[in-house]
Amino acid sequence: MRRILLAAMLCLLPVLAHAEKSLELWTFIDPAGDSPRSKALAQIISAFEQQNPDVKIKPTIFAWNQINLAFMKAAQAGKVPDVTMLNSGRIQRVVAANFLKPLDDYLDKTGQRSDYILMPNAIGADKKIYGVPYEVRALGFLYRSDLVEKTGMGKPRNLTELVASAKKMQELQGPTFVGVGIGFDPKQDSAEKFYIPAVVALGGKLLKPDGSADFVSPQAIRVMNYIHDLVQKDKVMPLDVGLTGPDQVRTLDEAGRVGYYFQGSHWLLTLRGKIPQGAKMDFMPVPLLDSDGVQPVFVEGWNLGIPAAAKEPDLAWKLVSYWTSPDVQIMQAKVAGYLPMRKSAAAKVDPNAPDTAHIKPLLEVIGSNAMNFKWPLNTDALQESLGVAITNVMADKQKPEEALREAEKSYNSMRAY
Amino acid sequence: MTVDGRAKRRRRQSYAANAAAAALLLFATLFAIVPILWAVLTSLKSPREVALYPPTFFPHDLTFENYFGAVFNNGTYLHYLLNTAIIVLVATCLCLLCASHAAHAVARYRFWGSNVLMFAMFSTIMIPGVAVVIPLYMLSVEAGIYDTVLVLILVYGAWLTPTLVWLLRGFVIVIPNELEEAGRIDGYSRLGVFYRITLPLMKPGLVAGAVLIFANIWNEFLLGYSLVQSETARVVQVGIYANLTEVGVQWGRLTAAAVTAMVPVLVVYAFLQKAFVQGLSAGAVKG
Repeated sequence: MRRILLAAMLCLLPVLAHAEKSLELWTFIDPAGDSPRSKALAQIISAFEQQNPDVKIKPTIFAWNQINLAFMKAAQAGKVPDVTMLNSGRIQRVVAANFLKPLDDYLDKTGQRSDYILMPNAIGADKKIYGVPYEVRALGFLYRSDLVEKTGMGKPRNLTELVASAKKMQELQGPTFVGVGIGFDPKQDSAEKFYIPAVVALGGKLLKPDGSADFVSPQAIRVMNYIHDLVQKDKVMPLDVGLTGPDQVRTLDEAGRVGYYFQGSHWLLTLRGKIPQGAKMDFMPVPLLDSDGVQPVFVEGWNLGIPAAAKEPDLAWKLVSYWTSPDVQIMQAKVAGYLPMRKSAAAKVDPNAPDTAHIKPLLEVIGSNAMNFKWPLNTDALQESLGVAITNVMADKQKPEEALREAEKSYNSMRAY
Repeated sequence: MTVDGRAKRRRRQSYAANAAAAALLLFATLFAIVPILWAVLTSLKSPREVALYPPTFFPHDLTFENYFGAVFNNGTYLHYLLNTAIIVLVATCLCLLCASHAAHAVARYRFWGSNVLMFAMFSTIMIPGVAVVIPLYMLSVEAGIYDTVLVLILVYGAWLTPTLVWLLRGFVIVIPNELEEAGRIDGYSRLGVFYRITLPLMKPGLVAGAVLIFANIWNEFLLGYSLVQSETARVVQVGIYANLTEVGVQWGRLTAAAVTAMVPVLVVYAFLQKAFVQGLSAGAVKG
């Protein structure tokens, strides 16, 4: 009997040795989808599984604007995945709650820490790194370069020229064409991304050292007036477009009906494939308001975090490490249009190929002129209070100063939550 | 004014009132049906046609690709449907089991504190779901059942039982007490009387209650979203939300998933419509 048992155990040994490990990944991108980003993720998962035949990645998909909250709830309950995507504008809350594992030891082991572009919000109060972006993106204008050529005015060097260029495009394209498309819906993740860099570029501040609002300043009023004039005076942006969110403006852009669309650089390749035939699209950072030049660029990126209670943290890092390796970053840039988050990747891409030509100049801008803004704990409060102020000013419901004073009150009452 | 004149005037007023009522009903019907019709038609359009401006009402190129992509070839979605079906069936049975007994008790027996107990139970109907989400989340975490099918079964069961008790109480009251007394004289225990005499007579109410509970749970989003994260236990209404993707809202797929999710409720309602209406009106006579 004992022999039989021993033989059975010996037979089972190889099976046990090859038992599949499962790595749960929380993502807002469905690897089974047909978007370029889905295809890039599917490629990464498939290649990783091939390299690690005993590992199976199990993706769980969430809506992009819900994944941070879902993770917070799950972490509180101790039911966490092995790796999760986290929005860079909101990761600070997860970090402060101690739900993530510091990645410093892993990063140090790679010996290439300085090659990573990291997000300030993923760095905790203890100066440790709690998330590594798997992509970076610069925010700016995706513009119709074919129409810029048609207007004969050249690429705008400041925001005043941008309005003139948008007006000219509207004249050429007809009444349904939208010169400038910026979605300021307070409930969506957008208003603050145009507004904050514009104020910072003029030398203004948003928050006091104690974290409370410092919204009312000559610079802020200047930017508010500019946004107001886009709608009410220059009429390059219809009010209903300004009141919607970036996703809604994108549907107009896909139809070739927007001249300058404010969005992240990661949309460039996707939109190039969607705009009408003959139309051309390029990306430019937001120019300065008062003089020629470029504003500090708003940089963001989705992070990969390993939960503090992850079951397989080392294996999880293996996936993160593979995902953020320069070669995979270049593949991602080509397939999905992201910017690589490894500085060394810029040197490896073809600067003349249409799918990679934008990478090097944008990484240079990010390297030299990124906006250094550390988000407060409650990003939603900042986004909503500023968004409400902007939309009220746009719709001529309030004067800029009055709207900003109200936004200050609103933000100060919400920021602690 | 002559008698004829008064009659004509009354007839004219009656026509006007009928016309106004018909117009109001037509408006109410359109108000209810147009969004559903719009969803059905959108689900049959290609992604490009969905994004067209100005939008088209009827699809130019009829396609079922959204149904194949979002439903039939999507194992995850089918899994959500199965989860929801299990949750709805078990929670409905649980609700009916508890509520039928409780309704009998509150309708027939008076005991110390029974009014307070009834008030406490019925007042929970008035509490909006959003007010209890956080306590329920914390409770489920503490109980170790967060992110499971079980938590939804228990929560839905507890949430809808008072409504069902209130509904079934009306049915128990209209059943003559003498029938139960006769059963007691024949030697049945209190529970025996309930199972053999009262419960069969409550059947229309049980059917109406089951349909009501079924539709409520099937269409519920907030608790399903808040108490479950993993795809293993996710319900269909939360699954539909996943069509809000990183490339924008996939309207075609979203409406295809939503239309599919409507089907079970419509089927159940279609089969039990008569019993449902009968049940509701029967219970409404006394209360």
